[in-house]
Amino acid sequence: MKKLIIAVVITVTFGAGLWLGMVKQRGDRLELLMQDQVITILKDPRGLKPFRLQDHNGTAFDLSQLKGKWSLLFFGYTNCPDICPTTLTTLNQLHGELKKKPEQLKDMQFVFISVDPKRDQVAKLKKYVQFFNKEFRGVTGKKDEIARLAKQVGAHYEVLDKSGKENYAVNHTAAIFIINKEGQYFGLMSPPLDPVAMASRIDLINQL
Amino acid sequence: MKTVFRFFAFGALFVLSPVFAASVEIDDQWVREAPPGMQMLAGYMVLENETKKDLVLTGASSRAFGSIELHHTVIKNGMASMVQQESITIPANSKFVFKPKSYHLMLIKPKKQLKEGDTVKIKLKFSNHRAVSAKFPVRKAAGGMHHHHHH
Repeated sequence: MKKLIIAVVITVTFGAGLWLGMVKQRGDRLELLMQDQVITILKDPRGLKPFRLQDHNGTAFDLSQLKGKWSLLFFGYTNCPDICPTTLTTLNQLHGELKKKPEQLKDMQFVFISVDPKRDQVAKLKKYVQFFNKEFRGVTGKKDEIARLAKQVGAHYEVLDKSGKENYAVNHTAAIFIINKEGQYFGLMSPPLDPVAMASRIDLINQL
Repeated sequence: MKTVFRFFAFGALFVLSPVFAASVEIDDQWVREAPPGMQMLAGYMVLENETKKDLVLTGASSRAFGSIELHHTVIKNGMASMVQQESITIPANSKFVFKPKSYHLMLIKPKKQLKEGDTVKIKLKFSNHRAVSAKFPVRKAAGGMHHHHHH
């Protein structure tokens, strides 16, 4: 029987990032077959500094809310017609994939963080996020506090509200950020985001 | 007699068909259902230019929306941004795909809340061709049954 396994490899280091890959076992040596295009894991999980936001029910959302479970964070805005609904639909599909092993979902939360607090008030955010999945959590807050969290995971955004247009756009990072149960920045998943591929990586992480 | 007539009808179709073939077609079109109260939606389609000249799409309009803009979502260095397109050129005898995370019609200010199952008529305007309209069904996500056409 050919022994083909998928495991975490500590072979290729890209700056701060470590890549997951498909590996083949040859004797006691693991051989890298391909680099992973889906997930990037930090070599050392990075602790986060405190921030103060609120969720779509008005409940405080601070660092303690990122502890005790895995979190997937996506930064966006509700007035975004293409990439945000597409990504939230993908995350809903991922949620469906993970549901096949319900214990995976028990310790995982999906968080949509608005980078457009001027237009995204709590009530609007709740309607928006729950349209995609009732278990998803919308988070917003003061501009500085959003920036405090975004900066720590390297999520970039640019609010183009200087144009004077009512329907201004916001440029933002397209990746999904992963926070581990200790509330540390663990890694990220980059587009194109495929729900089945993402689910398989989360399954791997759970086996670590 | 009946057979002769059928034969004639078939022949007529055959003669006329090249006229119809040189056309612009909208396929696999759909509008993504948005959460209640949202002012921005997106529409997608495959635009087929079956004519012998390059087509220049310059805009779109619909009674169902305040306005429509042509946009392209670009992910550069991990950052997503929408770039408005003044026009989009579809080369002769080719297809142009509008799809999520790529080219899309940005549908601004819907006149009413659109739900899955609704349809909206959207008119596409070209600088060098007559306008073409199509009914866009509203869906939650890209239709599975047409999916294989995209590959």
